Amino acid sequence: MRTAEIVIALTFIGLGIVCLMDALRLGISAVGTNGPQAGFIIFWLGILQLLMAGVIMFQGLRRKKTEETFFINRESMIGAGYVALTSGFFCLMMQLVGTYIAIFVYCLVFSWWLGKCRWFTIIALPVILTVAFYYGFEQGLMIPLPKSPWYVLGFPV
Amino acid sequence: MEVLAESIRNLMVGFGVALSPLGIVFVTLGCILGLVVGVLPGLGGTAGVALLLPLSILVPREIGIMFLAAIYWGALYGGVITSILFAIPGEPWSVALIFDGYPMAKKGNPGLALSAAFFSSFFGMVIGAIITVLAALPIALFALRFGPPEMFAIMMLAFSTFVGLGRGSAWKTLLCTAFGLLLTTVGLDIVTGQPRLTFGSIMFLSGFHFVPVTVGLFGLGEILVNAEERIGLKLEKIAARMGKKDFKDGLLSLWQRKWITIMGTTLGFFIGVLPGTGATPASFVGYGLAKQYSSDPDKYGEGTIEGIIAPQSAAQSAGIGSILPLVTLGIPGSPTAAVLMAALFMYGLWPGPRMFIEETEFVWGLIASLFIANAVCLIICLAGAPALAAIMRVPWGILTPIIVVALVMGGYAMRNFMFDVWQVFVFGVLGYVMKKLKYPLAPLAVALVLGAMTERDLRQALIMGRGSPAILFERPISATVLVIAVLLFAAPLMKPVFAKIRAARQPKAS
Repeated sequence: MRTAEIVIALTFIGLGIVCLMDALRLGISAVGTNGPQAGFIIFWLGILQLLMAGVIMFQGLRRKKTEETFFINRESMIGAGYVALTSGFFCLMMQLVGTYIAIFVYCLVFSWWLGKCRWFTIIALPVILTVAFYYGFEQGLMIPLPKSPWYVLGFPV
Repeated sequence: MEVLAESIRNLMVGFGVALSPLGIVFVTLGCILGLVVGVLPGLGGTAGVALLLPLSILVPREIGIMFLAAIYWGALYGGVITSILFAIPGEPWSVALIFDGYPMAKKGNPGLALSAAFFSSFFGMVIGAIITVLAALPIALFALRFGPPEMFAIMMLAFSTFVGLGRGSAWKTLLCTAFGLLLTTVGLDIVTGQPRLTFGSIMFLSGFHFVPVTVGLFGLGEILVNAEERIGLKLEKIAARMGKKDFKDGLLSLWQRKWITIMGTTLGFFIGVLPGTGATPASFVGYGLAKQYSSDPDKYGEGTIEGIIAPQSAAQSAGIGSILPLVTLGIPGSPTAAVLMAALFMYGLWPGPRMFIEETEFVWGLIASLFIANAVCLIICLAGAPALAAIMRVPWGILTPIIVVALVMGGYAMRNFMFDVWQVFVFGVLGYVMKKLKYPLAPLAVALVLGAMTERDLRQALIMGRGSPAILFERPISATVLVIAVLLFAAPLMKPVFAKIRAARQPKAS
């Protein structure tokens, strides 16, 4: 838990430094031709973020190592890790092969691999969800969802 | 008196909108979706409302906002079922219900526990809605005098309540607020047109949108937390059936404990009005006070009806309370109210006193819908609690992919932008890590919504003051509000001092 606390604080410190650098580029004066310059508020928010993240990191460094860990046990780490991994995989597939193939493959893999569902569910869930999202978004809400690169060649999705 | 008469006239106009066929259909739909969202442990009210934002553009905006608000009310009711029957809070504000609701259900009285909770919710919401009707117009009329310095001071007050009244680390709260505000600055500067924090990327030019960030933080983050435990696998089978006797007993028990209901409701409403709080602390405060002033505090935790009535009426009333500053001042009282505020921006409205005065049908339609949505939720809950409880029995392996796909699609649908899909994922993982490390997400969500307004008001105030921040302290209202905000910001620093004083006094007293 201590390590995670320090890593996250360091991430915020890094983001804070990046913000400060861009604020300095934009100008941080409160008196510009159109009022405060574009970097004014970013500068002060960046300072605040740096200070707060610094305090949290300092507290983390001072904290003694305890038995409290970020994950309760190995199973919990695997559970959250796999769901995060498959969610990321779904987003990547959506970008590469379009929404419908992504939904189909993601649901199929999830219900089979992590859900340990019965064969009927493994087949039915991806089909139902793909059809539901097609009618819900493309037909109902008229929102075109990303298609595969082969769509322009005549592939249906 | 004149203001009261005008409020009632406006409310009648609002009822005209809310009771239109389309209004009733969408309020009912919102309540049903909200109840489902409230029952599902992986999908909270905040993410649920954010997810369904695109649906609201299908209808006129006054119906759309009623629909979104109804999801919130439904979610407030939905958490009751899972807390009482399975000891699993569908929503954080339902945790306090478990203390007595679950033991009572296990003792063989699930019907009475559920009906008492539903009727408490109903009265909590009705009284909260009445206070809103009475207080909204006077507050809005007063706020009409506010200029940029006063509005900036009010924003600061909103952020300071998270620090001063929040339970967690003040450093983390401030960090989350700064981070949320910084996220709103990414993209083109509203005044100079310069790209800020984009680093040459075209994707960053469009900035971070509220919906994918909220859906990620509150939706996917929660899914990952649940994945650790796979909640759906360990449910006890407690029947959710309710009969006429349960309805009668529930109402009777509420009448016999009317002072607890009134105390919980009033307290909850005022806690809900404060931006840093919301329904969750209100439910705990309601429970704690009822226990503290009880003649028999030992019965709490064993399955007493007071332990159900107090937190539930407080939570429900706090939910309504969070709407009051939203419609009158443009300050959301809770993360879910922040999502509702994002919807107002989407409709091209600028929340605040001017909107309250000028958009009568819109605002009063929303207020009138509180009464209707509440009645609809009560009827659905009383009639359909077993069906809602059955949702919890859908296996985790089926429910999770459905929710994940819905979250990602909900994030994408706002702007039809692939960058938003990645925002859902990245903020989902970040939300999970932050939750585990006890970073409060509510100030981040509120800062995301209020960011643009805060910056605009500060810049306008500084222009008025020719670059000097002294203008903020020269005007009486902004000075007073800012002093309160500064005190609230400083409150966590004073806590150790007060603790030392208390500790020093204790030995003398003993």
